[in-house]
Amino acid sequence: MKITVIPTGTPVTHYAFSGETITAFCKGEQEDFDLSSLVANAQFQSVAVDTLDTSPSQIIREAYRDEAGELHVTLCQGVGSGHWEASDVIDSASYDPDTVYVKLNQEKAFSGTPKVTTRQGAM
Amino acid sequence: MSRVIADGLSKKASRQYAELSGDTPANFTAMPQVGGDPIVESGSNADGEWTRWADGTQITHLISGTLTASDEVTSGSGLYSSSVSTATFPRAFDVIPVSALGARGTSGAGLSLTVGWASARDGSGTVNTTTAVEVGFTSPEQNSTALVLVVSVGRWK
Repeated sequence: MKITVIPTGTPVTHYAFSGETITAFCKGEQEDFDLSSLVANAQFQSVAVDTLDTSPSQIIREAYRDEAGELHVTLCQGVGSGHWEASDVIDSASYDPDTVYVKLNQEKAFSGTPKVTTRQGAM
Repeated sequence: MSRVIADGLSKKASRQYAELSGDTPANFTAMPQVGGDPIVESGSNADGEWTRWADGTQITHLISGTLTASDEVTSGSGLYSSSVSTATFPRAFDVIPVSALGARGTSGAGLSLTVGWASARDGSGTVNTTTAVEVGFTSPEQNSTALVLVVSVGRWK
């Protein structure tokens, strides 16, 4: 599974992966999202959330399966002040919940101290 | 005796605020705080740009993905509506914000009549006005496309 991480305002704190099931963690709760039923050329709409206290778009923003059968997923990482941009594409096997994947654009002015959230909290 | 500088405040009393007088312009190395919150913060992320102030005011602006006006509103009306799209605020509000909408046509004629709209739902059928809105637009030309722009003002605390 290939992953792109985008910066958002109120996302889950981190993820775990097992096959094509993504477990999202938020405010002490966790929930599984099985994407194995997503076929190639299918249009992803949204995940259905039962447990987590955040909107679906803050959990899995986008997903599709390419012609070769590989799943591509857009996940979220929490940010505060600063101008933040999406990560490079990574493999889910290398995902580390303590890593900052989104990128800070330091060329644009902003107010405050740059903040980003990982499993360890805001930093 | 302390020198009175304005409105009956003494020099000592005024020190609770930043010293802005004198020959050297103030140049803070960190954002001053009021009540534990920075006077102002700002930034942007995948959902748009935002600014929030220590008094609780927050302004966000976002641009939706490209929407297509494919469905006729009512038969024979000559007015076409896009499907609903979820737009997420770049930072959550604490209470329902006030939003101003616009639409920028990207293809198709007659887009001067395009209007944007948004409802207080998050695309999953759940009323969730503090984190996301549903957006769309209508046009007199079927299959014209547009981006919906949303500027929202509200409270973050």
